[in-house]
Amino acid sequence: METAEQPLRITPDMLLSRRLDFERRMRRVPPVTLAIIGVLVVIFVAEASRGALASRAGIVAAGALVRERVAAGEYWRLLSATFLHGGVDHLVGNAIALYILGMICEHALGRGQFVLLYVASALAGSLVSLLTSPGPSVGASGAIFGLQGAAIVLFRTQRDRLLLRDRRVGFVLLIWAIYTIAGGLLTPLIDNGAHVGGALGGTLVARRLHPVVLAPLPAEQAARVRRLLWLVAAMLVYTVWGWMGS
Amino acid sequence: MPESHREPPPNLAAEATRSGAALRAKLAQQLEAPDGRPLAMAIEDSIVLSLLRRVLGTLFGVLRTNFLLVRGEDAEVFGEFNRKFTLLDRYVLDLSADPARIFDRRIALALGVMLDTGERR
Repeated sequence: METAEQPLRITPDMLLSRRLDFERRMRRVPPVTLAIIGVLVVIFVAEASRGALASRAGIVAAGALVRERVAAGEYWRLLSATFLHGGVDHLVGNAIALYILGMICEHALGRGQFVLLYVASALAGSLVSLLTSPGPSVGASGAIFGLQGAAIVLFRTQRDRLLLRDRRVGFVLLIWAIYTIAGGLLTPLIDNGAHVGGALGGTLVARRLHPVVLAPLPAEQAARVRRLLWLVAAMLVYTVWGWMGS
Repeated sequence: MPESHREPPPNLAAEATRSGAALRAKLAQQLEAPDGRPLAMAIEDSIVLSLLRRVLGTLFGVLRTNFLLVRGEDAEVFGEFNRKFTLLDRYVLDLSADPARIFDRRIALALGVMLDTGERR
């Protein structure tokens, strides 16, 4: 004898059509991210060819973050240090992480906001690093942690608009961040201050950014992004100027 | 007879081939009818998670390989095959996006077993 089926309760998760598949149309070749990786590689080659990796003095002369030098007015080191790396494995590890996280953030935020996020995270990482360590310190990981923090914020705050499998990405990124920071506590060679600072900076900045993957950037906010990009350009010019003059 | 046990056409035996056409660095399995006609494809559900798994490993079991079942030119998603994060292995084959039951459930089950075997679980 057949029994009547129980009525099925419709839950929000069943309404797939209202949710965005985050990775659909996500570019596997994120141009700004790859450009940054290219810059990191070129600068690393220049570093190595000039013997900057051979000694502490060499890496400091190349633009590493050193508390006393920044206190003496070399503020350009806040950014220059984030373009330097201490070895091939350091560079490759950061490049891989930057590619994955850059792909996410560039897709989510668009190129302009992505650049703002990257630079703001790098600065935040350097500032906290200055507070926690005398240096010298180099690496893009502060900026990369900022991208990670921003991605976690995005997947968390937009969880009702994304598919379940996209929300899983945010959870995995959170576990990865905790794991990396915990690992950084075990060795003095890792500048965890830059990691934590970058993550905090990226998390805070991401709350002010507009996810263009969900809706186009409003005109007013687009104008603000353009103005801030001019500021970033000015900071980069100042960094290069300080770098070349050191 | 319950509809989920509906007989497939007599000549419909699925053949699975690993596809090199998955340009997205994803593991993909294509299902073909004996005449070579593509029936469906199982692809990893996330390029980001796929890349992370290659870099980080399983990350304490958090990074698992889940699959989407897609078909047609526009890769319409009609199902999922997911491994849940549980102490005891639990798998969910979700074909709720194929309410018309166009895809034969027995082939979907066999595909799930094959995907899991391919992942050496």
